[in-house]
Amino acid sequence: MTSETLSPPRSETGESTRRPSGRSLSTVAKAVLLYPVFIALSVIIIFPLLWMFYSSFKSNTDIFADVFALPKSLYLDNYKEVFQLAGLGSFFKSSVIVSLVSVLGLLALSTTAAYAFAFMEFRGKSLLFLLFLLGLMVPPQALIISGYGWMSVLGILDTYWALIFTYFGWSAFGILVLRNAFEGLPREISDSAKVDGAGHWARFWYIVLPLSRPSTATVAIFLFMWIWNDFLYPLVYLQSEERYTLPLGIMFLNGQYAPEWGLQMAGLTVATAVPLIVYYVLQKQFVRGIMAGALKG
Amino acid sequence: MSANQVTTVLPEQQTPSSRTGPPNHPAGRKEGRRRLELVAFLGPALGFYLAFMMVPLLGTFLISFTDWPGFSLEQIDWVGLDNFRELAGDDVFWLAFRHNLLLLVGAIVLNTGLALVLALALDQHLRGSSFFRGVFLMPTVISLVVVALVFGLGLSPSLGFINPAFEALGLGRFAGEWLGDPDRVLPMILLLDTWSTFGLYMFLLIARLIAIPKELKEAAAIDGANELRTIWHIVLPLLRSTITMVMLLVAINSLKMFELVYVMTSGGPNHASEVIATWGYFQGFTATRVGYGSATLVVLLVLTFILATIYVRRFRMQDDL
Repeated sequence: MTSETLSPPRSETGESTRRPSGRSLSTVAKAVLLYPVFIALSVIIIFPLLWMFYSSFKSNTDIFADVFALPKSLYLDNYKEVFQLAGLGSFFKSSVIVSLVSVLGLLALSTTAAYAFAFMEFRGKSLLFLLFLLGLMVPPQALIISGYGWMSVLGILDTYWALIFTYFGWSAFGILVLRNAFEGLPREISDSAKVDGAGHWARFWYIVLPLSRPSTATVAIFLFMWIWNDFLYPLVYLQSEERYTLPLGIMFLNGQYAPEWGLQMAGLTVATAVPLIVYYVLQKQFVRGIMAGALKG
Repeated sequence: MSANQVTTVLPEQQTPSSRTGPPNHPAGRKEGRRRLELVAFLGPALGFYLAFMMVPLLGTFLISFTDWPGFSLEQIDWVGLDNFRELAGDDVFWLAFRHNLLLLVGAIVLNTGLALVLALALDQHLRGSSFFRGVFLMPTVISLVVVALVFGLGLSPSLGFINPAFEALGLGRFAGEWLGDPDRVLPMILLLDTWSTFGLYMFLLIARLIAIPKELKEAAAIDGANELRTIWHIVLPLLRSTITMVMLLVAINSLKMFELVYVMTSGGPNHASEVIATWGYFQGFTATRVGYGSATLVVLLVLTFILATIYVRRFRMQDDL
């Protein structure tokens, strides 16, 4: 119920049945006009990804013989090679570790901070909130040089910690979304807990968090996508190949195995599979995150 | 939301004073506990935010006033505005700056236009609309590196699939060099940027469209207005503020251009696709001119802050504070 504040009000679902007459004609006209656009655009979006996917099951010779041809048989050597020789497994492991630790940590940081902004009173609250909001706008690209220097001062350059701590600094998105969600909670519930003598921790842990699980899930998915796909910070902060995350790893493969397209396609497919699966399974939460990030319900 | 916030916050403010009724309860200790709780809830997020966002942010500004090869701290020289003076006469920087502006204008037109047209088209509730909506959003979850590498291979003039596709469609005269052609590389990067982000903005517009009461559109239809007129006279005016918001977000996002250029062309050929972020990266890391690279990135920060301030003032202030 908490998520209702985030999702747009639904119109009556599906095709409305109560349209004025004359509907059929204009619907046909619209269909003739719009479907070609929808389909053409879908092809432009899906084909490159599909091409990447099926080319990963073709040998190099087959790829160069005919770029469009579908694989003749299920050729798995690209995958064997990219995992065994090119170290894709290690990139994958790095991505999993960094993403999971960062997302879990960010959730802890942003739920507590959002709670403070929603339920606690203190001086300078709106100013502090504005400070976090501005952080939402900072282009990470502009921080890489001093960030690199800062990580080397801290002595964590070329470790997962450099990435994880940096991502911990990007809590603004979660704070913004969760504060709004927390404020949308029915007041009576959290207030009644207060009368019962429950302190902030109890209210936070037993009442606010369980009630706002959908919003927290939305934030988690959004952060996961962003961190999993992030290329910039791994590029700048990691040096040892064995710590590369997937986006950096596949670029490395592109340099190391430039002529071996099949192998590259296998790596690219693996890197894309995880966010795509998460997207299709949890599409609703993901969409809610987009709405929450820029619009307020 | 702001009114809601005021009314809901008030009781909380009053509670401590009204409940510290018993005079034997030392208010000071209670105040101390409240403070401790606040620190426990807000402290960690604020700490990481200051240490890993604000320090690099301020650091970028500070380092931009220095000359530093970047190895040890003793080698830092304070040079004041020298880097910015040099930047003013750096032809490649101005080229990159121009490319950023071109990409920004191009992205506003292409991205907002495409997002708006598709949002309106999907709002017609044709069968399969939600399927297409899902497809259009898909690119936003794919890493820009994957986009850059897949299209990088696909655009390869002799081996990729783009040129054969053009030929198959009878558009063979457009086939040729893409990323290697100084005239075509930047438009191609703009197209790929649009490919990977328009779905996001389309969704923001759809969210607003859904919120428009159906009765409004139906009333117009009864008055005899055809659908295009309804869209023009009723829907678009209601979307205006969302469209402005999308344009600002597109602009802010466009300044972040780095990955596509870095991975596909490294700014080439001969700086034809150089942008501020890649030039700053090159100066800071490849040329180890840390101060000069930071000065380059400061320009990026200033541009972003100008846009972000407009955005926050216009769309966030009244809502969030």
